[in-house]
Amino acid sequence: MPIQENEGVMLLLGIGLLIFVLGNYRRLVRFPYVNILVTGFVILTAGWLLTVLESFFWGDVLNLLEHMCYAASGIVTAVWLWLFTRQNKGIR
Amino acid sequence: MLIAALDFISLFAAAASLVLLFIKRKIKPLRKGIKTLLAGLLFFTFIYNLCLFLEWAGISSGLDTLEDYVGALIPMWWAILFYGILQEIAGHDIRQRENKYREKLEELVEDRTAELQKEIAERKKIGDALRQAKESAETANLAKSRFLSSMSHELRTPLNAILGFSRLMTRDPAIPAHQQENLGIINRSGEHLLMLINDVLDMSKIEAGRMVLKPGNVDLHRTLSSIEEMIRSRAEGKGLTFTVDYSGDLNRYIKTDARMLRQVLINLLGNAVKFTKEGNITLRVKAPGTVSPAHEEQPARTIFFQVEDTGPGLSSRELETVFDPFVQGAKGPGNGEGTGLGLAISKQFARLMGGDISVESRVGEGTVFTFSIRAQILPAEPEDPGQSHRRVAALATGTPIFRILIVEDNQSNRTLLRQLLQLVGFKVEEAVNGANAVQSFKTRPPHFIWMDIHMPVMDGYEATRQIRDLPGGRDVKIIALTASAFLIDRQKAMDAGCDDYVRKPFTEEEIFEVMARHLEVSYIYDDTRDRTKTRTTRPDRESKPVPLPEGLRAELYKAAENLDVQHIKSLVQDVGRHDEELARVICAAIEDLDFEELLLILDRRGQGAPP
Repeated sequence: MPIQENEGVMLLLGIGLLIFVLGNYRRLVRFPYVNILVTGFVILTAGWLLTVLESFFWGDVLNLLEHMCYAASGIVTAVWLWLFTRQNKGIR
Repeated sequence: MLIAALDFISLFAAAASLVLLFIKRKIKPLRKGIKTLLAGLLFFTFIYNLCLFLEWAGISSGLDTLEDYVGALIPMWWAILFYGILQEIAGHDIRQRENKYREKLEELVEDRTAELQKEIAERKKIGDALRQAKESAETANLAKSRFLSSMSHELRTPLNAILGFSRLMTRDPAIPAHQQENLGIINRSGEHLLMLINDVLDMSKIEAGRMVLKPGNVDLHRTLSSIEEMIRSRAEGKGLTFTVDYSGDLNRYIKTDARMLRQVLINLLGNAVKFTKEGNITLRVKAPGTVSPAHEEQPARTIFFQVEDTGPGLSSRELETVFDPFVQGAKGPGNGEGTGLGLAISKQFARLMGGDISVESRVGEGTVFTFSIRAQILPAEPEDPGQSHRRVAALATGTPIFRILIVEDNQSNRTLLRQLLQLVGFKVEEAVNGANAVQSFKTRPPHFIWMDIHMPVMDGYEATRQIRDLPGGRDVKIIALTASAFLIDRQKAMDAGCDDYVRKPFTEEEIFEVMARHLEVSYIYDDTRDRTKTRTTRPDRESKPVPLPEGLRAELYKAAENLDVQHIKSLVQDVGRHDEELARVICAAIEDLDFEELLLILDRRGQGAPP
């Protein structure tokens, strides 16, 4: 399966953003439960990586893993939102 | 199938998150911007997952393009979300810093407020202390004023008797010349003592700001002449030359405080005589420049007085303190004499009269005091009865018989005033206190009352008030007589209903002048040059008394001594043929059964002229 352009763009944007997030992690970490949110984003970025990689090898397995990442990222983000709205914590 | 389930989970998670976001409307840490970003992200995630799910389910195969666009938007939304979070953190930091500054500022304000409160409390404490000190000072000042008033009264009362009787005794021709000299010494010593008391009181009044100018009409030439006469005898007695130099264009009549002017001049000239051993003393008076209008009607002029002596002079150190109170010169024979208040009072008096005083001196070369006054110029001879020093000998012939009531607790002063008034022909009654005076008034109202103020039982103020409330009480003339030196006592006396006020120690001139003013009586004076000139507002009353025939007078005298009213009445017709006015006076005396007065009149008429 040839690589799709939009998947490549998403991966590039995702990696660029991941670098930015990790670079500002010490500041971001002051936001309530931001590590969970970042985890959700990292998993999502992993999904974007897998969707690119599936074009090169292990197509079905990586595709499955990709969708697992999307689902996991959605759940983690929902958990973050749930915790975040429940606790009413402020910025540290 | 598994992938479809996973996509559904993703779809469900996104939908659940969206629902959660909209249910929880009030989320404190989430600001409106982040909530919007998050909503956007979840929405696009939901659309993306929906596309994936529908694609798998084969419901629509035309969603690839939408999936591609939305998929590209998702990382961008994540980026925006993280950026928003960072902005929120930055905003939070700013707010925190602001809060920190605010707290610090509030802390500073609190600290400063506490300091200010402490300062206010301290100032209040100081204010309270100052108020207390002020009250203490006022109390002390009041006590001082009371003491001075009391001291003044206590000293003036006996002084009044000393000076009054010594003056009265000089009238007695039976007193030999050497005793007259002794009387003069008593009188001068009394006056000196009075001057010292007055100096202390004046200084006290100046310090209390209660010394006020009492301008009156002054004959400047006569004032200078009398002072010249006084100083010349003292200067020549010490072998000094005394020169007075004033130009002829010096205005004669001015308006100023005569007492202050005299006191300053006498003080400066007296000092010059006291401290100069040899040489001369010069008094120069000049009024340079033109007369300028002081106000619309009365022109004014500055008059300069200069007293120069050839005494020991003053050192530069002495010159600095020469006008300070209680400071006396180190040189001269008079060292330690007096109160040391003369020059201090002179300076204040000169200023009160609108001028000032200065001094120039060199040790061994003499001293020059110069003082100025600002005085209104009067165009003609003013009517100022206070400047005459003629001695009253008797009431003018034809003067009605006036009954005078003397209310005075001090026997010496009562006797002095009684003798003085009887001597010139007034009929006198006495009361020893206010209550006695009120009773006396009810029995037989007098024409004139000399009312002492400080008396036991009832004081002069109360007695005056009660008399004024009695029938006829408004017609009688009541003159307050007090040893108090304060103007406030004068005001109190006037408020109580007195017509005038005379201060002890009084002089004969003051007593007779006040009576002339209020009773409109005329006098005959000792000075033969002034015998026909009387101080009166009713010149028609003046007439030369006609002597009674000696036989008639002797018969009347005998009838009066025998209290024979009928005989006196029978003789009055004969008297009327010689002097109708005298007949009326005798009739009035008989009606009053006042034989004493009648005898006095006959005594005077027996000499053919007033004594």
